[in-house]
Amino acid sequence: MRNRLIWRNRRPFQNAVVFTSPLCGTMMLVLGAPPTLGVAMPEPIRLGWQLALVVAGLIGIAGLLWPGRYATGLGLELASMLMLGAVTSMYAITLGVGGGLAAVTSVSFITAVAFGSWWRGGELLHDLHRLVEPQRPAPDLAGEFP
Amino acid sequence: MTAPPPPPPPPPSPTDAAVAAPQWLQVVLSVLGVLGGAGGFATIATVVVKRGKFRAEAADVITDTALTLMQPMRIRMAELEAEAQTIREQLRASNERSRRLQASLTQLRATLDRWYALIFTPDASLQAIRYTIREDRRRIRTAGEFRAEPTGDR
Repeated sequence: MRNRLIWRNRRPFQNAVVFTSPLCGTMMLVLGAPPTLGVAMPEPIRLGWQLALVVAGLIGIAGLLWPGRYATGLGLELASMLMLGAVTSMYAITLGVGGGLAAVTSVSFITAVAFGSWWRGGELLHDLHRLVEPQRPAPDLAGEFP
Repeated sequence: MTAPPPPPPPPPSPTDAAVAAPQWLQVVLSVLGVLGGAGGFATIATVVVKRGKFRAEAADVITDTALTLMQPMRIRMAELEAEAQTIREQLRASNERSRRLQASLTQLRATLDRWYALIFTPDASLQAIRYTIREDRRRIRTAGEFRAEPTGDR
């Protein structure tokens, strides 16, 4: 039988965001930032913000495709989620303050991305904690199966 | 035409707001950015440094979904195991019984042959036959009792 399981929790949204963010960041770095950003963020913060966008995306891709240890991949993903959460929160605040009612749509969706990033970060933190804590005395399920 | 007049009146409040908002906004953004960046890099550092501390067995990352899928299978397996144990026990008992029956059959056939020979000897007398048969029966009965006791026990 091929490896064709039906999973409850796939993450296309996270994947899409993580793959999009470095593209977006490089585009802004190369072509210049949109005016909304220029108003609210001073130059150094804006530059750092764009770099963080690129770095978070690249780390996220690395974490998702990590070939080695499971825990390392999860850790990279967690780092990416923290950075991405911070970056998108910054952008959401900027837009919300600067744009007002006109920016409702973009602010909501960007807030959703930020919220999702924090959420996923919390999940990853929990998972990593579970991987670190000493081996539990195996619930009756994980037994003599080879 | 209308553009020039508005600027003079607004300046007090809009400029105040425009100056004040970016101020706290910048603080908030900087704090968020620093926190996010520091958190990210700290996480990477932690994971890289503590690489050995994480357990890496695939069995540890089995999801709850997989466990729920496995649960009914394990219950069924336990049932089958118990059933197989019972049947093995029964088979052993039945083998034992069959062995005992075989033994007694062999013994009975031997006795029958002996009695046949006894009857058809040329100088067979009723006395001798009765005597021998009585002896045999007594021997068989004692032997049977002697044998039945340990086998029944086992």
